[in-house]
Amino acid sequence: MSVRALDVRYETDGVRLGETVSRGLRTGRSILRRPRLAFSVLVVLLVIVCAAVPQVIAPNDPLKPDIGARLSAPMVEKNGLQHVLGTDSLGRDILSRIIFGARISAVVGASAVALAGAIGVSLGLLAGFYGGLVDAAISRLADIALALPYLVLAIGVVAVFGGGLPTVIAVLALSTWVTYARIVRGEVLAVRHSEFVEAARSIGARPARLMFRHILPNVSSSVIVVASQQLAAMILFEAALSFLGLGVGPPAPSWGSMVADGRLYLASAWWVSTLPGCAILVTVLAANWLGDWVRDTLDPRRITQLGEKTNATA
Amino acid sequence: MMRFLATRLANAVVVLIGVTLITFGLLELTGDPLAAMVPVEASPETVALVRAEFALDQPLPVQYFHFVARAIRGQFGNSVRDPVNAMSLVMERVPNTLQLVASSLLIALLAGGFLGILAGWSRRSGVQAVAETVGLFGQVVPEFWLGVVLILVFAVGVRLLPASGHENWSSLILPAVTLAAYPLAMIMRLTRSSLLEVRHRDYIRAAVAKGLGPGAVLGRHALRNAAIPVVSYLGVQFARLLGGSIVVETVFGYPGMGLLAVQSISNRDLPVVQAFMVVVAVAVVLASLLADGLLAIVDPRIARG
Repeated sequence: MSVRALDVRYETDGVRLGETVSRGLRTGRSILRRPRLAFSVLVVLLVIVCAAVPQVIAPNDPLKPDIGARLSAPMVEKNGLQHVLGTDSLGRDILSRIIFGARISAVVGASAVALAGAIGVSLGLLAGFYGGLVDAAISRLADIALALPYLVLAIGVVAVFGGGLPTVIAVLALSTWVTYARIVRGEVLAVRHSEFVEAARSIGARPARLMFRHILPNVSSSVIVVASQQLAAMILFEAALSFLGLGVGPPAPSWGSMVADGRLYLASAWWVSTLPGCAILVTVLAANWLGDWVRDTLDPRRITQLGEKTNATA
Repeated sequence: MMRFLATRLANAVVVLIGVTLITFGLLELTGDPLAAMVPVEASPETVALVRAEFALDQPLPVQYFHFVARAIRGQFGNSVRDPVNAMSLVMERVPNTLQLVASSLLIALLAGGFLGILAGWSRRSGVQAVAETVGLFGQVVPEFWLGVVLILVFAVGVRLLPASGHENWSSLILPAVTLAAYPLAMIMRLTRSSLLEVRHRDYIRAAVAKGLGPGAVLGRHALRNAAIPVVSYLGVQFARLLGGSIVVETVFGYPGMGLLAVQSISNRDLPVVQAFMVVVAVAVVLASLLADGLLAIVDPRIARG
């Protein structure tokens, strides 16, 4: 199915970027008319603001224990609603910790996507452009990366180096670059013999220039689509790593480790574990919807799949 | 067909060589592999013995070949915590993990397939809404959080099921359901979209026109084609399922190999971690070979390339 869809796509490639930009602008204006999109944009903006200036928004110090108010329930009117979402076992304010926790999610999410994208796009370009042995070698590298799920790789790396921000980002990038490489490789294969590439080659452009100046711009919208969809996955993966204690680690609050911390108090204080999980859920949902929106906006072949008839068969 | 499988097999060998290189490299990167393999209180004789056994006084490539030779025989050295072979510690837990993964696959296939068929065949908006919600929820919910909520509801709240451990079948229910959430959603989406795609094809219309009932059309014609993406998905996603089982085992204190590996980190028990990594990689490679073989049977065009 996708092979034919690809053909249709590349016939219109030359003019597509300009078109998509203006289409993007038009859709941008109608954001507010669509509840899903409005929700997603709002949540993502909120997370970004929380990550950038948590000290402005957070009502309390996320690290300061309040021994008198340990495990106090949410929405309890004590001293004028001091802890809106309650406190954890050390009496730290959960709302403030969730707000500060956005920082790790946002930083890891964005950096992992950027690093994985850089690795994946480069290797995908090389594999598609040179083919043959280079392609075979990169494909095997991809198989190796796929054979070690990110959690397994993380266990190995953390056992040796210990956790921390750079480790988390590196592990996520090293196990997710394959998605980008696959897409880019396929797209490069489709355009590498097209006239504009041959033309550039015939006036003496070197391979690096061909790949980065001529081919890359033509596959960039797919890269953006993949990156926007991977963002949700990265946030989810970081949370899982933190939950297992393989993440950035204390004292910085992260949503995954907050869920883990609260497990001991499930029977007496349900909020400690579940509320940070809600933050993950809502953020991942928003990032997911945003990714879908980016895909539908930039990628005409996927929009048609939603309808009953596809473009490719028409 | 044979050629197709032979290529896949050769690739699998390359992948396993790569994985052993990584696990070997990790040990090397600790700076002092010897320190990671013998207890601090070990006598100089023991240290010398281990150094000779693991060829640690040899150049790196020689060390690597020794490592692979031992890996093939399942010798990753003894666990740091107990003087037991690390590989046998991991293998002991494999049946539990397989039980968990297999039960969630079963749940995901049955429930996801059923919902997918319902949503792909029926035009009722209620069905579509349920399918969409399940599909979305399964994709965005963190496994560890779902596990915690299920414990809260079924173990703390109504006290119907055990929250942790591995005594009888009832302690398998919550972990299996938790792990099944993601593949269930994906299988449902795949089944639904491929059914939607084939539903208007001519051969389906022909089957209806010659008087076949809906069950026969669905079972004999539509589902056969809809199964292709599901099978290839399962082959690819087995790795994710194994990864997810690490999280789920930790949430429920389920004694699988994932829990063992997580606990080994705090002990810096590298032999166990290495054995675990290699076992997972072998399992993933085997699963993808199996899926390739199944695909070649379901869709002979694939094997012919």
